[in-house]
Amino acid sequence: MTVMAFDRARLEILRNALDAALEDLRLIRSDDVHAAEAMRCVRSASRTLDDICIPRVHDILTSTAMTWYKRAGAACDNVTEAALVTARERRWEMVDDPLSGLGPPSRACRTFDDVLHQMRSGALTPMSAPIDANGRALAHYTSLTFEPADTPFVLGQIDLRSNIDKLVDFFSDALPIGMRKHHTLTVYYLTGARVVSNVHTLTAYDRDEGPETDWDRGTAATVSGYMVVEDDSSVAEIVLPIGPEGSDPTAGRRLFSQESSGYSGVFYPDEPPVFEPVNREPSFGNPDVWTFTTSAAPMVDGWGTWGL
Amino acid sequence: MSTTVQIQQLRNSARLLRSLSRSIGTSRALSLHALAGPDTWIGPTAQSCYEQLLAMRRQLTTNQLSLADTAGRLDRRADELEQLPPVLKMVS
Repeated sequence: MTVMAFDRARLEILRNALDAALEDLRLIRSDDVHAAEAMRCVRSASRTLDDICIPRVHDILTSTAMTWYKRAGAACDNVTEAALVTARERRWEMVDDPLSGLGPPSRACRTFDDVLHQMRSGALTPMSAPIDANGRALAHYTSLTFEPADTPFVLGQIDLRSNIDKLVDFFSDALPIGMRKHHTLTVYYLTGARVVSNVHTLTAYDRDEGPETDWDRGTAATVSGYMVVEDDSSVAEIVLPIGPEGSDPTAGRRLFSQESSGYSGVFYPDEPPVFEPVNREPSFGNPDVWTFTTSAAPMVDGWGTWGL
Repeated sequence: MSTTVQIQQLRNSARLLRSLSRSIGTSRALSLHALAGPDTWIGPTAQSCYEQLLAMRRQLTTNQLSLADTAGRLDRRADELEQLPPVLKMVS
């Protein structure tokens, strides 16, 4: 069991502020069609306060199970441990953290290796895969677009290239014909990211406009969890060396270059997402957005494949 | 629907959206995160709550700005309709 510490006076101020904020949110109302998305957000915020934050603060303030500091050794990492030392110095109260026995630990408690290990063992449950059209013309398929609210937190990254690829990359610096490959696996933690599930029809589509999308059937949810992405890119190039013999071998004029890149990934949410209808059209231009499908055929530029 | 009615509806809608945007912007929900940091509590529950409040704040702020943008768009549309010549107003 992990320990948590708190300043009772400040936590009581927080409890009162949570109540006041909930009251404010409940007073916000609008039937205007243009305000539908905003009202969904307000209702979601009310639920966050009413169902999650307020009960947790209340439970801590009314908890009678006080804990001695020596149990703080069970804290999940050095940062928490150090914070608990400070808390003891401030004479804060301590209790067993109600969240430590429930649900997933916070991102500070799950390392890159933990995520990989729990992925393989099945301890982490992935989000449901997008629907596959299985190559049938006019059949429906879905895409999942993840829009992080903030810069994603990188838990870690590993280089998946073979030793031969690394060797070829090394010699490509000095040779006129080169081949560079990048193959990495990165684990991100997303907090409060928006995931949009769009329904598409498998048809030939205009490259600029993207695949045919049924905007009325789009749904969205807010999620937190681990995004595991495998990036694969390669560049083949022929370079004409310039300058006198013995000069920098990496300097040269590029005669030919061909690039290819793609990615695949899976998202492991902390809690099962609750999708609600959405009307807003998603943007494909955000560089921090991942869009996944399971069908290879409808793939557009910038989309990845669901699965690793 | 006559153009005058349409203009009035657009203006009303823009006014309501601005009012809604102001309500969200002045809601005390936007300042909760400042009270929920490590000066108040420490631990997984505290961290989880703090992150939820931050995410909630981001979403509310995004929607607040989006409402103001939409209100501006509706007002511009009303302005365009007002500037139409009377004959075109009847057609539109």
